[in-house]
Amino acid sequence: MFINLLNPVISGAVSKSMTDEEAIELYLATQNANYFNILYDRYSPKVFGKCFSLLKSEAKAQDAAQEIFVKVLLNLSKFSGKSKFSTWLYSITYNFCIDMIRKNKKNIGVLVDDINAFGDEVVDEIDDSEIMETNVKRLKVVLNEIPAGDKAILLMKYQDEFSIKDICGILNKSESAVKMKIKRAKEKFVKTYKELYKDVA
Amino acid sequence: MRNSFKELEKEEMQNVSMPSDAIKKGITSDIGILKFVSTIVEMYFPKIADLFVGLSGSDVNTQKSKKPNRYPDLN
Repeated sequence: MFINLLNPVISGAVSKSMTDEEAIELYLATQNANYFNILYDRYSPKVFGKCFSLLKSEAKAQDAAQEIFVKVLLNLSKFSGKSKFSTWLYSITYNFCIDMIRKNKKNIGVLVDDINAFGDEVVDEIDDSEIMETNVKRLKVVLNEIPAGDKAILLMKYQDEFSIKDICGILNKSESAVKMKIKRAKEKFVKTYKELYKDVA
Repeated sequence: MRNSFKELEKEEMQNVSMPSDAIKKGITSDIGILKFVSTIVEMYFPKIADLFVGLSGSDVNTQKSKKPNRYPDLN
């Protein structure tokens, strides 16, 4: 029998008050797709937005969002609840988009570098505020100029405010490797910004 | 501290319209296909396994007839 995702039965008030974990638990217990609908309605705009931001195409973002939710639906029983559901979902989103970009391009930046043997000490000289307080229009331009891998790691850190530990889990890298990747992405961002806006600044 | 990344996210979500129903339909269709394929595999896998057993030279019927005796003679 096909799962009907287009037939919401649970009332809006109930779905709003239900936590992600409750919805997952009820979906796994009952296989009622309406519980999955709650999660879909809650997170699909953000997932689509992230896909669009990384893949830069509405059609590709649509395909990616669809495949990501199918993956999530099929692997929901594997969600352990150690992290928040949103973190788990966004990690699937980022990994899926990075894989998609990797298939099309060879060089996507720091995420492709297979460097795990960093020293323990990573000295990050660029202040977070320098990047976070960038003018929004310029931020958009610079993020579209830098490699997708660098963009993804900056979005994880500043847009989703993931902890280093979360990013380690998403990228399956050590803490020192992640710190180094963030440092390099920040350097790339600042360098690109200076190249683009050297006359304006 | 101001966070331009959050502002950019809001701006992008306002500017891009998500084809929610199309994505939902796609998910339903994908899951439907997967369920259909898994049902087919579930139905025919034992037969295909028997076929390979048969092709390998063994007698499928002999294999099947080697069921344990439900009422063993304890004497």
